Amino acid sequence: MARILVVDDATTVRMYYRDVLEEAGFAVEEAVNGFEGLEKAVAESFDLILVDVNMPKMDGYTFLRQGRTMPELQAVPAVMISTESAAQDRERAYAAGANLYLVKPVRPEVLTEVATVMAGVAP
Amino acid sequence: MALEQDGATIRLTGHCPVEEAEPLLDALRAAPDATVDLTGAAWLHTAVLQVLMVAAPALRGRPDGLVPAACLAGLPIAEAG
Amino acid sequence: MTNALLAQFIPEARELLERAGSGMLALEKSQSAEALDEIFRAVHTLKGTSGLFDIAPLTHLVHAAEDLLVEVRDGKLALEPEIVDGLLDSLDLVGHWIDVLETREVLPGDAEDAMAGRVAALRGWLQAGGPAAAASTAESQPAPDWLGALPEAERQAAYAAGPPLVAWSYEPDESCFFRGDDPAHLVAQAPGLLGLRVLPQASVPPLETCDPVLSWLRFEVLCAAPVEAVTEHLRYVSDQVQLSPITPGDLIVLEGPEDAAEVFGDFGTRARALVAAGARAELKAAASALLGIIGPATRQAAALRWIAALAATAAADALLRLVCAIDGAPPGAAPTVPPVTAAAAPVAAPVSTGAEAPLRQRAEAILAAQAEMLAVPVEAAQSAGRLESVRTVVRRCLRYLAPTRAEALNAALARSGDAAALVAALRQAENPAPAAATAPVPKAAQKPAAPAAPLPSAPAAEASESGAGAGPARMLRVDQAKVDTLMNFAAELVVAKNGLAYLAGRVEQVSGSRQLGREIKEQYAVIDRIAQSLQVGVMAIRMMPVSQVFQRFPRLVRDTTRKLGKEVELVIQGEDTEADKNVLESLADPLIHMVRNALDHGIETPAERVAAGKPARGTLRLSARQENDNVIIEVADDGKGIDPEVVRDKALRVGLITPEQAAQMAPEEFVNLVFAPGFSTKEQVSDLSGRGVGMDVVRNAVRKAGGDVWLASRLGQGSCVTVQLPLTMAVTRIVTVEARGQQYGVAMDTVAETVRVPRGQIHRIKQRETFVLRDAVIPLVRLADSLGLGAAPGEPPEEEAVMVARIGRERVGIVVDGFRERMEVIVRPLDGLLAGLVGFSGTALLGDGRVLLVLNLPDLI
Repeated sequence: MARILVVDDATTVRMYYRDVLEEAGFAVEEAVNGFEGLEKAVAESFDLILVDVNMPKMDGYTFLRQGRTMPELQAVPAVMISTESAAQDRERAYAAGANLYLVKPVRPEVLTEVATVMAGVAP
Repeated sequence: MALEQDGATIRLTGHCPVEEAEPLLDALRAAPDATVDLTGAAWLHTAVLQVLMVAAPALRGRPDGLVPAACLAGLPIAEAG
Repeated sequence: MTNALLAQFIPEARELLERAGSGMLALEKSQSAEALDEIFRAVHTLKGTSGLFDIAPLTHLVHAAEDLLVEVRDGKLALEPEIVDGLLDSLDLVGHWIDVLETREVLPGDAEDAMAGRVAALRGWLQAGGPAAAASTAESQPAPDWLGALPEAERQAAYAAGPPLVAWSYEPDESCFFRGDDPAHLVAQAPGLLGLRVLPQASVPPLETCDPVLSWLRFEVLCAAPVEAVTEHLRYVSDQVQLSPITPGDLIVLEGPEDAAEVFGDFGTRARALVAAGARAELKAAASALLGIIGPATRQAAALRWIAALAATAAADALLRLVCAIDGAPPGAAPTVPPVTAAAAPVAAPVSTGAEAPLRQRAEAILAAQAEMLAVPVEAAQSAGRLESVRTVVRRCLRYLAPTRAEALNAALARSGDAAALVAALRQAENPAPAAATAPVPKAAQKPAAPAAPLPSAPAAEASESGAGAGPARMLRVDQAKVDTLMNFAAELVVAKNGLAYLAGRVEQVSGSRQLGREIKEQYAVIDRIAQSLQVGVMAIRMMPVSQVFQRFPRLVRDTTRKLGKEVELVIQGEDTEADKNVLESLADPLIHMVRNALDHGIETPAERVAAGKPARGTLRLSARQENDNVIIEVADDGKGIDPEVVRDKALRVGLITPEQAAQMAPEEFVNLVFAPGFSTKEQVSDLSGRGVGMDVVRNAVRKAGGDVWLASRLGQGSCVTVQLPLTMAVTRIVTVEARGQQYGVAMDTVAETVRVPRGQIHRIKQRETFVLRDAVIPLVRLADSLGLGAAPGEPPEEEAVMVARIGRERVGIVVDGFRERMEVIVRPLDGLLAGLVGFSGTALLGDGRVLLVLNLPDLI
């Protein structure tokens, strides 16, 4: 089963991702900020990471930049999910190391398709 | 003093603040048939107006203004004197 | 799924609003980047999360608030108090919506309109850079549906006054009087007030039960003034107001039953001719004449009255519309538009590309993002990692692609480390790959510089099957009633196990088997331990930090002091102290009352304070702490305090105390008379700094929750109200005492200690028995006397058993005939025949089935 790490400080958002992704057959792990995300990602392996932008302690950009320098994480595809749709926000995400930039709210079918393609394993 | 009771007449005078609402309510509960004299009342706080609307006593006189008039429109009018 | 998600969202949204709100207040005090960050993040998270639900107005409003905060964060906008007001009001509105969402799962019907008004105000500051220009130019909203209920004469007067006109409704919230609001006054002072209607929000409360300090009115008001002026006038209550600019035409609301008499047809024909001829006086006369012969309640009659009133002044088209309302003819020759049948040519159905089509499109979109990403410059430290991640993504996309495309990309992937080749291959997506299988991959000149990362054997490592287990702590949302039921069972168990102790004793007496008795006692000890753990565990579920109650006060204090023109620093201490949810809830209202009193009557105006040699800014301290099984809450101010002399005179005058009693009372005892029922209601008390207002209500509420309240005050220096409440309401630890052969329970937390006092050490001071305990003189009370049980038979004992009880801050010795056991019981309130008994807080069922009366010591002394 493909494993997905969800990094977002909003409990409701994490629950939404979990509901949608588990329904589609993925195993979901949660972290509430970038710092906890790194800790989890180092401790266990994941096939895909979904990360929020604004979080306390460590934001999504820092999380991605840090992750891209770590052997455990550098090759793991990451999707940054933000509320902002401006081009410069997307570029910032790419510069930090996101493979895909999605704007909230992400519809369930989009989330499922993205996860199916990017997690690499048929769920 | 803004609230005085004189037999079956409760008289409100001057500016009646929120603190008057409770004594007025007590007085009207104790004497449901009392007449409330507003001829000397300059302003009634909303809480006081509310008590009058709940108890609906006969009124003598009304304070000036559209707002008290709208609040007290349905209340009976006591005969003069 | 949606409902569970919504259920998750609601508490989270509340928490975010709370964080943003308290951050805002902190920020107003002192500009701190940290506080601003916190507010910003809370609002931002709320915006992002709200997008998951069909609540667009909420998302829009939060979005507008966020934009404003960005300006503040970037230093482009100063955070003036008016802006804070605007933001807080918006958060309040969102909070209200969340409440509605919780019960109805949809936003209120007026949310869209309310949002538009608020957003306009927030955006106004955004553009103008300050509140001055924040004229809320809300776009045209439908006129409120209650306009027709206003008296016709008032509406006609408003029509004559002409624009600008504003119709607004105002529902002051229930507790607005506590904040010093006088809604009727606010309405009376509204600019351009023309007319209004006053009605209950729900229904008029009955005389017997109505609470005079709660507001329940609704005002529907019509003003001839610019919307900005009215908005400005209502800015402090904007969350309770619905405001819409209206046109004079909106005022013509015709109500009443339809009258189909032929006479109206004749009138219509004639009236149209008169309007066309400009014969307004004749029109008015015709309308008046017709009014004289028809009933006044019909729709037609209403229209005629409007014609009569407006004939001289109104525009022709307005009059014609009224005429139409009378005879039912269409306003003009407006042709009805034939419905356009959308018989469009059938659109070519999308060519089915198989079940995989969406995933192929998705994969192509993801690949396009990879190309875009690689075009964005990156720091050296990340570049290798980023390329690796792209390679992973591309590899995973392959299986969803057209075979030729997949092959080309696979070839590019083979040159690991060659970003340029990969980008080039990715770009091919934009124009479909040529039929030739060989993709035009540019020849890579260089050898890969970076060491090739080992390709994981596809598909990626098999993850462990067990997804569950190590997840973050997941919260369980439980209906409080379920926890309460569990709590009751736990409490019953604690009490029922006491029965085992009796049983052990009985076994020893009846069967004479000490062995069996001991075994039962051992079992009792085990059950006792488990029962207590269970009780502690369940109680922990219901414990909440006091901050839940305190959190409303920064806002209350801010709003109240702003209105009173006072300066007050609110200091909150010990907000982490925990207590039972029910206990805290019972505390909420009394606390508002006390804080309100302190602000209103305790703390002086800045000028008075300076004149008294105090700092202009007063201090209100709210603190909580745990003491034994109690939570202690204090509300302390450094205001003018209470004069005990004045209270004493007043108490004597109204007959609350006798002169004899007064002679024995200490100054602090006088001050506490403000809690006495009847103290405040018999006479105006503003001359006593108003402390009496409703204080008996406070004490009743606190005592009902099993606590007590007292007041300490120093004239000119301030007052402190202390509330003591049990940490939990469920189980009470008591000690039983005996008086004249009867047993009574006393709550352990009121008992400081038990001592034996030789008769010789009991002295009389001022007709009261006292004794000395470690240098303190403690008054004595004989329980049997207090209960009216009569004198003890026989000789008085050599030593008296004395229970030293804490009552408020006092210590009192209570003489009993003896102490018995300690136990835990559920105290049930007195009911039925016992309900009126003074001196008892309730009854408790004992393990052996007896009923024990539990004393309420403050009543007895």
